[in-house]
Amino acid sequence: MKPADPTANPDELVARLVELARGASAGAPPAPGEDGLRSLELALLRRGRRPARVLWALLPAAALGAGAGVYALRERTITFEVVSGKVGDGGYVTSGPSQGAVRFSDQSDLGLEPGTRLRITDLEVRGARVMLEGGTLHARIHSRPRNRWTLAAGPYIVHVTGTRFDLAWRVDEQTLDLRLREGSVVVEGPLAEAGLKVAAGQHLIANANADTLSLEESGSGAAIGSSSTSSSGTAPSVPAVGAAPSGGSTAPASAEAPDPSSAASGPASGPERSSASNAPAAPGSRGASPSASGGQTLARGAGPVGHAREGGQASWGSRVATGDFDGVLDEAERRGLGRALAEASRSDLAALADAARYARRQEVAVRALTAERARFPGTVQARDASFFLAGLAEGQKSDGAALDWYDTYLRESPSGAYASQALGRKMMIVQRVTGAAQARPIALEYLARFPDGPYAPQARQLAEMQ
Amino acid sequence: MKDAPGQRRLSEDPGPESGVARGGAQVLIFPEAGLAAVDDAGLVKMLVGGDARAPRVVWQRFAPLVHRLLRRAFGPEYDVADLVQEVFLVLFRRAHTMREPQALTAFVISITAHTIRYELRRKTALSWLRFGDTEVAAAAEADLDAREAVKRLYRILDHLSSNDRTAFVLRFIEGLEIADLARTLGVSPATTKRRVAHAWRRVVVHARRDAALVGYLASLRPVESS
Repeated sequence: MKPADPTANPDELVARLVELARGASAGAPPAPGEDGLRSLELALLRRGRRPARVLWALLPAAALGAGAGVYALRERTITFEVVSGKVGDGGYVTSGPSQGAVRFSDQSDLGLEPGTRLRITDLEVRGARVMLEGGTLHARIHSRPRNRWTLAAGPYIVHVTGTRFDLAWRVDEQTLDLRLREGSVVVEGPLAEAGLKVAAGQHLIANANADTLSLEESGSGAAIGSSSTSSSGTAPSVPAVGAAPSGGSTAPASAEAPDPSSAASGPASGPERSSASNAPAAPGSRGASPSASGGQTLARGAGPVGHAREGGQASWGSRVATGDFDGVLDEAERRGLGRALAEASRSDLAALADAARYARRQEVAVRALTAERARFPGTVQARDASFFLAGLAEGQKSDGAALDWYDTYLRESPSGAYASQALGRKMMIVQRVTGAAQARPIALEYLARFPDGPYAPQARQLAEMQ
Repeated sequence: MKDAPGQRRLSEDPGPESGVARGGAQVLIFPEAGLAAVDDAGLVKMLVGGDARAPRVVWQRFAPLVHRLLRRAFGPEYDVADLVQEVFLVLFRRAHTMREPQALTAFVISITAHTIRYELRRKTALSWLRFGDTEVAAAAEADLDAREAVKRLYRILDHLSSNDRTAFVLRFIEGLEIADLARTLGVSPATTKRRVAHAWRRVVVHARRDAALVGYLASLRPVESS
């Protein structure tokens, strides 16, 4: 008897798929046991500072024992008042259409740009915990010994002692934008698990989605926020965002390790930190790598083309990150593709190339990537462009061109983020075009360099051939 | 009064770890074996309070759940060990932010869901980087084995956005109710329903296009409606 067609009933189809998935996971290896626990404990030790903070921070207080101490602590816990803004349910403070301000009893204050939302989740004797839900704030934290101020934004935590800075958290882009004006802070989060010290005059941009992080010298550049003057008087009056970042004064970042003591142990401390991170770049994410040619901003227009965003339009990078490929391409074509390719900032150009690749606009993608290489030679983006050009060529069955581009990438970025991919693809093409014998040396090289790489199984097969 | 088995009254066993608080207050330390009975709220309290035994207990209680959720989200071929670790590291880091300590299970699921979404985005980016490498076997006859069928199922799930996929996995494969799912995802029930419906439609569309998978599913016994 012919089996019933499950596609006739979509519910039945899904039910069978679900059974399939459940059955598959039931047959999977058992849940992690002691080994996993040991690994976790090791990870906790490695990240010691953070869980230690969470888990052990209260121990001294506990040791203080009962009543009197607690009462004394409570006596000195700082307080705050919302000078300008609305206090909503759950302790939310929102600035509404105008700027807001929160003032603390320790003489610290926060200026809120319009539309900013935050929560003050903890008040302590020497600080507070503030969660920036979205928007931009200008913080001035009064310096005191043993300050315990923290500002959290998404997965990032900014530890503050006494300083003045602008902090923005763009929820949609998952982008943290921090500009230090005075003092220093330590930022923890993706790519900065061990804590990254950010000092006065530096500008940090981190994208949790794309797993990128850049740190650059911002000099006396524009602050984050709008150009309107603070109505509360607590926040500094700042120039507008989107102004060219520090003009020509943008210095090559001390991004690699501004403070070895704080950054050296973090995974983000190596050269080409963002592009070489374990996490592959998400769409629109390539533009954050600090490079020798100077720092750059992520998700903020810096060039003539990317500048036309006064109406609140998101940057090309952020639009690509949200899947708006066609929108980016349309805007580029409206302005003139040639002009965009010639004038767009490096991050915009990378975003345009990404948008074109993802929208399968091969010709535009090739032009944008070629422009990246021509206009910004030596940068990470330019080097990465050769890898993407190889992929495009391969997609168009141009094996020769693909091999050339993969070789270019491997020559320029032997330890680049895509090196294992490039070598693997090269191996596959050579095998297909000229045969296994020619591909075997590449396979051996691949296994020597990337024994756990994505093409390791194919490489092993080739290596085992006689 | 006799102590519970394994329970140690520290006042009778003073030592370097006596645990006698200042002011003479008596502190009882329970061995880990007894901690299995601690409820979720108590566990959170221990975790936030810095009890060194808490991570182990949390791990023992929730590792199977986290592991299963991740397996179901990514498929049996995917190595989820690091993700399991990541979930717990985030949990320990965020424990102090819990407003309802008794809802620890929901909190764990929520972190796992977030981890799934994050990992899916990474995975998607990786697939973009391999866009020249689409070596999908042509759909053949209904002679697939279960392993290949599972691969094809997860390939279908790869077509979903991270949000939709997470919603689909938690709703259908894990069986979460809409209200729980909404809390887990941090969105409204209406948004959750939309997400689930969207994911469901896309899965159906993609599955119907895979003749080999459909053939395999047709060869299975009908699923008993629960």
